[in-house]
Amino acid sequence: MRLVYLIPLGLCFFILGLGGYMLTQSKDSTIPSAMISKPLPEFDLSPAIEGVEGASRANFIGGGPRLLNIWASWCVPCIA
Amino acid sequence: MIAEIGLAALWLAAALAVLQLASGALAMRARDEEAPLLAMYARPAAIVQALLATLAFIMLLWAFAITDLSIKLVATNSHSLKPLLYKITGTWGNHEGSMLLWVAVLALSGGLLAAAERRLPEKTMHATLAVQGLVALGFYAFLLLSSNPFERLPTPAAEGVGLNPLLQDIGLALHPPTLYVGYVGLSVAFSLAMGALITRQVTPEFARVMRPWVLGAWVFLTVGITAGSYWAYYELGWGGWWFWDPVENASLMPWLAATALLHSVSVLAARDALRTWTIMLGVLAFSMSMLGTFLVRSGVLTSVHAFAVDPERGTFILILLAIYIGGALTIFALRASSVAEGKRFSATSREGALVFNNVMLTAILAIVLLGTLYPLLTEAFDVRVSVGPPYFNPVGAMFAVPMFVVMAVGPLLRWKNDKPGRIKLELLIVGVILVAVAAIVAIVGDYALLPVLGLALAAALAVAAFLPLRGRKILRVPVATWGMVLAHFGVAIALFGMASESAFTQEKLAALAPGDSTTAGEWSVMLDSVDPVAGPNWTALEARVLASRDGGESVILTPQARNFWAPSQATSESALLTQWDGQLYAVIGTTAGEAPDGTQRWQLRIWWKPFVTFIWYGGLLIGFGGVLAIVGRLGSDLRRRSAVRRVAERRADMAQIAEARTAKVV
Repeated sequence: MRLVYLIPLGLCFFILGLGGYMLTQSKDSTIPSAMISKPLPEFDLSPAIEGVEGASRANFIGGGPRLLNIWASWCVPCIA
Repeated sequence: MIAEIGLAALWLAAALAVLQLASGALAMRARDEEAPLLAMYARPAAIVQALLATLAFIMLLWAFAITDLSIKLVATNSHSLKPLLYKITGTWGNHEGSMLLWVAVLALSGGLLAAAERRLPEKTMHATLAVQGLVALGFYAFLLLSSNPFERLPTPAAEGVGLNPLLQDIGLALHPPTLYVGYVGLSVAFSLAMGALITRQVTPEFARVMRPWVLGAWVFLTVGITAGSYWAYYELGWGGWWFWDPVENASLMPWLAATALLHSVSVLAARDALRTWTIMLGVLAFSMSMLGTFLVRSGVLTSVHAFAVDPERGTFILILLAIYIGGALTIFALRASSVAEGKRFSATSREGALVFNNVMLTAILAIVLLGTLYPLLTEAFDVRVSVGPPYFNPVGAMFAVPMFVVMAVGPLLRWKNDKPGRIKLELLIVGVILVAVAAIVAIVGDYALLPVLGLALAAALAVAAFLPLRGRKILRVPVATWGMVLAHFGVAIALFGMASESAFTQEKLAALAPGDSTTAGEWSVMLDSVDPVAGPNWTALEARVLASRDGGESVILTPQARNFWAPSQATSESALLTQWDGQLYAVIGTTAGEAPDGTQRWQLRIWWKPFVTFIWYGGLLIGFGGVLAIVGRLGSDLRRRSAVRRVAERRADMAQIAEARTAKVV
């Protein structure tokens, strides 16, 4: 028996073990934001829709709480 | 009664799977002369099982068609007011029903194998049927113990909950059944590979038996993925055709493995090489389709497809996966070294090119697998990541680009050993096209590297696909060779569609009041009106959009924002305008405030996607090439067998005549 032929078996058990371990973990689908307690970076963006104002850092300075949604540029569902 | 008949048929089928397993295993252990009595039952058990499992599935279809609300599955997934087509397709739009469909197709193909396959040595056949019985038994157990589709409610429900609106589409009639047939075909290939490995019969004859199954599974997977991609494209309204979603990857991975397997099984059939590699791929292809089922149904990964998530079922599938794949790989590790590697060949030969592309396909498979499982891996250490196109596209292309280059050249090479100098002219043609197209596209516009490479490779591949026909009499080219040519040409077409979609797409998001217009590429688009409309189980806001190209005649598009009430969910129905050189794609969004004059404004999203349809035409062409290959291979195989039989008959006749003569002389 050549040891090379044991590699697929090892990989298989690694993946099975990973899957089994993750099944026992309780699934927490809330994702904490990576932005919490970080300063807002400098930005100045043009509007996505014609006829609406763009957004820049200046819009978020001072005053009460503001809402800013941040999406990945390649996230097709977010764009839609 | 319907549910009880179905359930009884399922239990009986499970019992027959036990018989098939036992009988196959006993026959395999016995020596040639003393076949035990039980051995003769393996084939009939498989055939009757196919009938019973089909009966069970038909019973469930019936229950859905008449909306029998005393059955829990119907009550939770159907609705009496749904159109009949969606009542029927809703049968497999849920976990239990889709597993029953899977099992029915599995049993049918097992029955077909048992009834029709007479080429293999009897022992190998029995080993194959035993493995097939074991696989089927696992799925019967899964259905009966943890997801019984025929469970009754204590009191019938007054009305059903309804089907997920995204699934209320003709796509559901096509996409899941074709994919399932593909997955199940791979399970037959797996059983055959295990049968051959257990009885040490990894021969070209075995490869010829396995080839139509692999080809068939591959054709169904190709068509299923193509249909699914188009369905997601127009139904989700996101304007994309592939999202690298875990579930999409789960269907792509078996396809990659099956593509590699189908090429390596051809090498085994024609040249008696790559024996262990073919067996390994047979196991890999099936394990990928099982892994896909696990990822989709267990809910360990977050996905848009996760519509039937249950960790308990996940555990069951994981155990099945451990038994089948763990067991198969253990047998592989023990037996592989006793299977000789087969005939040798040089690097510059058709085998060499096929091996190279096999390795590339497997590498892409590993890339996709890693990207799909990576979030799972990091989550085990409490880090959350999501893996998307920025990983899959470039890393996959690293292996896909060399693969496409070799794919253009490989079919021109001879078996066993060839000199690259012999095909100098062809190499030159392909090389010139590749460089010229890349240069032209890069000069004309400012595009990303991958689309430019994709366009150049597509052009080179499209020409290279037909080069193997050069210097041959067109009418005498075998059907299977036409299959290869068309399938490779289909890859070029699909690649062209993908590259031009990502290079040339024009996109526009606008907030329009009725009467306003905007432009996207060469299209000018005017929002005419937005009106409420109603369907059988939904209401919608329908936009009338007038689109005209270069100031030409206007065409009306009617994208809708639909609201279903059973279950309550909003979907967006995109409107598509198909032209030969692309598609205009329109989606109506929510209201976007009021215009200065007080009229309501609407979000309208417009894409102009040049040649995007070529992606799916290419996919269908690949599938059609596969069909031609099956027809060609089976045809030539039948001809060869009938020729062998005729020769044997003639020899027997001659012997008889000779005998008669000697008798006369005496």
